[in-house]
Amino acid sequence: MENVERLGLARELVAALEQGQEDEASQLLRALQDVRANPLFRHLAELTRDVHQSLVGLSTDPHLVERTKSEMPDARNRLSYVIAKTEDSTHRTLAAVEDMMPLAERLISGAADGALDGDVAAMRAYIDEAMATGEVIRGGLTEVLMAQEFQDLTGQVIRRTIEIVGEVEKKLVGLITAELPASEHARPAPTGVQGPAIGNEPNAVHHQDDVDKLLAELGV
Amino acid sequence: MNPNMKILIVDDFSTMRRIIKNLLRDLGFNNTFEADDGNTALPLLKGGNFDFLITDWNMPGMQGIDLLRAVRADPNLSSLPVLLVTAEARRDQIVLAAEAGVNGYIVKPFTAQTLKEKIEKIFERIAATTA
Repeated sequence: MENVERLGLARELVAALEQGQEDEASQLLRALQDVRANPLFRHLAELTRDVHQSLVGLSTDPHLVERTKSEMPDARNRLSYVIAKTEDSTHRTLAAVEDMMPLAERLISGAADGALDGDVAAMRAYIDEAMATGEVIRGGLTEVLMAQEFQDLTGQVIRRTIEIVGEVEKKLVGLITAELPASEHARPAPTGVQGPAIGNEPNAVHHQDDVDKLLAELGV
Repeated sequence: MNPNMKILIVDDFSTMRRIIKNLLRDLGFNNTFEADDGNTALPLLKGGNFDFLITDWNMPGMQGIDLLRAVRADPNLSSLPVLLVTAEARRDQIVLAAEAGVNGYIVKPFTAQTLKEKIEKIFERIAATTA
């Protein structure tokens, strides 16, 4: 359709030039350029309008504005809270373990190698000490138990953060996919440090056995 | 394995350093020291006659992979056994670490048994090559 139009205009242009009609010829030449340029302009105009609408949408979406202004810093605070909470819990647990370990050692060594054989007084003393030690160990285990309470709290906080990030991501992906051809928003391969493999990343190992196999192939 | 060998534990999380330190103590190694990234670890290593380095990968400042490369590049440290204990689990990263001359690689989360096995394996190999 576009070609037919251009061919017609070209014939008229040749005819006008042959007849020396300069005004007519330059008008036809302009028309010919317009035919070619029009689809491009139209496409560009559409893209511009889409970008504009998306940007307006981004800045006027009260939800997103709210999320960017207050909830993104909030999300960062929440994640800092997770770090603090988990660190605290780990230290509490480790302290309890460090306290209990030597007590368990003493219980074992106190009765080892027949140290108490035939010695009733020593046995009684050992039993008394074992009872007291048992109490302390029970207290320590309760402390370990209580130190796990962070999981519930951090779990909730992380879930909330995932929601916020998800919402922002959806908006941004909408903006990008509207304005770019599909090939340009293909996900690039990750580089640099990534942290734990949290899903089923195809390029990641998921078990120490996989690491060992890969290292063996590499001669390590 | 010498139970008195001097070990440097490098991790930016104090909790992980503490866990590794406790696991090492359970394995009979009490001569342990700590650093929180490559930048603080390297001067310790240069001045400290360490026998073994256990390091994380992802740390602010100098990362574990760069610490490994710095160790291998230093003529006084180049033969120091290095074990990476890291959450980094991509195959190309493990290849990178192997190329940089790592002696062992453990992915987090890990078990006490894994740590024991890898340390034993590293020192068995060293004993076999120097014998």
